[in-house]
Amino acid sequence: MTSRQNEPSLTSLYLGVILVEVALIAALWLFSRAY
Amino acid sequence: MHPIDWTVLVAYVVWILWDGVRRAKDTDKVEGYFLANRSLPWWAVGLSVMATQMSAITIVGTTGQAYDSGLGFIQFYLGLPLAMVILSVTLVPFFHKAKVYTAYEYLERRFDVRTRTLASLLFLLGRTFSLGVVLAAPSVVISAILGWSIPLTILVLGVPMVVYTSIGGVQAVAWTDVKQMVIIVFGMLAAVTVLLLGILPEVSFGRALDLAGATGRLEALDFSFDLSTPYTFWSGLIGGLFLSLAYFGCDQSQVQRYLAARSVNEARHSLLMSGYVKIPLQLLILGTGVLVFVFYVFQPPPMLFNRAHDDLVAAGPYGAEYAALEAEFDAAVIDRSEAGTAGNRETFLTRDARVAEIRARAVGIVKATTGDEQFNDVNYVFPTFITTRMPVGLVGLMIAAIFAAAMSTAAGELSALSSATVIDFYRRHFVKQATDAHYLRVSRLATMFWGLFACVVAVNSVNRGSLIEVVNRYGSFFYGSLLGVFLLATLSKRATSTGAFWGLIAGMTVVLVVAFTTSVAFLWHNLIGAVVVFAVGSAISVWKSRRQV
Repeated sequence: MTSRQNEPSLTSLYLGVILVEVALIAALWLFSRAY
Repeated sequence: MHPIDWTVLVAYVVWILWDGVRRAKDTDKVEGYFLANRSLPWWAVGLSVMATQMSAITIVGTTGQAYDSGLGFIQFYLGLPLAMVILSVTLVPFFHKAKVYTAYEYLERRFDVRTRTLASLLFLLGRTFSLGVVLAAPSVVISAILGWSIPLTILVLGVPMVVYTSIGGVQAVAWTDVKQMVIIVFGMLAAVTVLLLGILPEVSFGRALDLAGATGRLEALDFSFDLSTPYTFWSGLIGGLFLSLAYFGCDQSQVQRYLAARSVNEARHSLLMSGYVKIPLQLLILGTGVLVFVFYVFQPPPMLFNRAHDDLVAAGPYGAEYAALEAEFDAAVIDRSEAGTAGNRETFLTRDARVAEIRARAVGIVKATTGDEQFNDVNYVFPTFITTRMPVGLVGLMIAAIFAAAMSTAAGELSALSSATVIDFYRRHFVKQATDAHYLRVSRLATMFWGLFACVVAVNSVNRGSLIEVVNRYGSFFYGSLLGVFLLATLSKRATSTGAFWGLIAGMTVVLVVAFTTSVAFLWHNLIGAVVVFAVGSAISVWKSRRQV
C-alpha cells in the first residue's frame, strides 16, 4: 500500500480524534449541568 | 486475603514473568533488545503506551481523588488527544525516518552532541528517581493491604519486573504491557459491576447520580482562568497539551515504544489509540471513584480508610476522643444514608458535610498523635473497597491489576533508562567500536543496574513524602524545555546548535524561577519552558548567524 493511499484514512483518523474529544467535552458539560 | 485471591495474584506474577522471559529469543541484537526489531503491531504499541502512562497511583490515587472531590481531574487529560494528532504529523515521522534508538540521538543529527547529551542527561536524572517513586508509592498502599513490610512489597513488585525487562527487553515490556492493560481494564469493569450491584438495590441509577451531583462530584469542567488552580479546562487543554507533547514526544519511555512499531503509520496509529481511548478510560477510573462515594452513602464506610495508625491512636492521648468520634461518625453515616434514600437534596448535603467534618477531625487526631503531617487517607479508599467489599477471586484480580499498573510503568521506564544509558552515553562517549553482542551484554547489565538502583531509591523514599513531591515536580521543570528543543529542531530551519543548547538552559532556568517564586500551577510550566526555549533558541540562532555574516 502506498503512502498516498494511506493519507485519506490518516486524515479522517485525526479528525475523528478531535471530534471525539469535542463530543466528550460537550457531554461532560451537559452531564454536570443535568446533575 | 482468601487463598483463591492469593492463587490469582501468584498466577498473575508467574504468568507475566514467564511471558516476559520467553521474549528473550527475539532479542539477540541491540535493535531487537531496545526496538523489538521495529516489528510491533500498532495495537500492541498503543496498549503498551497507555500501560506505561497508567501507573498504580493512577488507579489507587485517582479513584480516591474522585471519591473525595469528583471528576475534575479529567481536565488534566484534555490536551492529550490533540497532542497525539500533532505528534503523529510532526515528530513521529522525523524519528522513524532518522532510524534512531533514542529521541535524543535525533538532536545530535540536527544540532550537536552537546545538546543530545544534555537532553539525555536530563531524562536520566528525572527518570532514575521517578522510577523509584513509581515503585515506592503503590508499595505503601499494597503493603498495608497485604500486611507485608514495605521493602518486601517493593521486592515482590520490582524483582520480577527487573528480571523480565532485563532478559526480554522492549519485546517483553510491550507484550506484558498488553496483558497488563487487559487485566487493568477488566478489573476496573469488575469493580464498577460490584459497585452498581451494591448501589442499585438501595436507589435508582438516576438518584445515585443526583446524590453525586449534589455534592459537586460530577462537575468535571472548571472554565475559570485562574493560573494558580491546578486543574481547569484551560490549564488542562493548553498546559496539558504541552505536557503531553513533551511526555509522548521527548520522553524516551514513550518514544522508544513507538520507535518499535512496524512502520511510521503503525506508530501514528498507536498514538492515536491513546487519543481516542485515554479520556474515556480515565473517566472510567474517576467514575469508579464517584461510584465508591455513592456506594458508601448506603453501605457503612470506615471513618478513615487508612488504618495503619489505629493502635497508636487508640493508645495515645486522644484515644477516648477518637473512639467517641467513631460513634458520632456511625450515627452521622446512618443519617446521611436516610437522607439519600429519601432524596432530599438539601438535607443530604447538610448531613454529608457533617460526615466530612467528622472525617477531617479524625485525620487531625491521627496527625496530632503520630506527628505524620503527610498522613494520607485518599489513596486507601479504593483498596479498602476492594479488600472488604469485592467477592473472592475478584479481590486477587484487582490487586493483580494494581501490580500490573505498577510493573508496566516501571518496566517501560527501566527499558528507556537502559537505552539512553547505553546508546547516548556508553556507545557514544566511552566504547565507540565494539561488537553488537558486547553492547547487548552491557544493555542487559544496565537494565539490571537501574532496576536495582530503583528498588534502593524506592525503599529509601517511602517515608519521605517531600522527596516524592520533589521528584514529581522535577519532571515539570524540564519537560517543557525539552519539548522546546525538539520544536526548534523540527520547526525552525535556522535554529543552530548553540541556540538550542543555550535555549534549553534558559528555558529550565525560567521554569525553576517561576516554580519557586510564583503560584502558577505546574501544568503551565510546560508551556512556559517550551516557549522560552523556542524564543531564546531562535533569537540566539539568528543573532549568531548575523554576526557570522
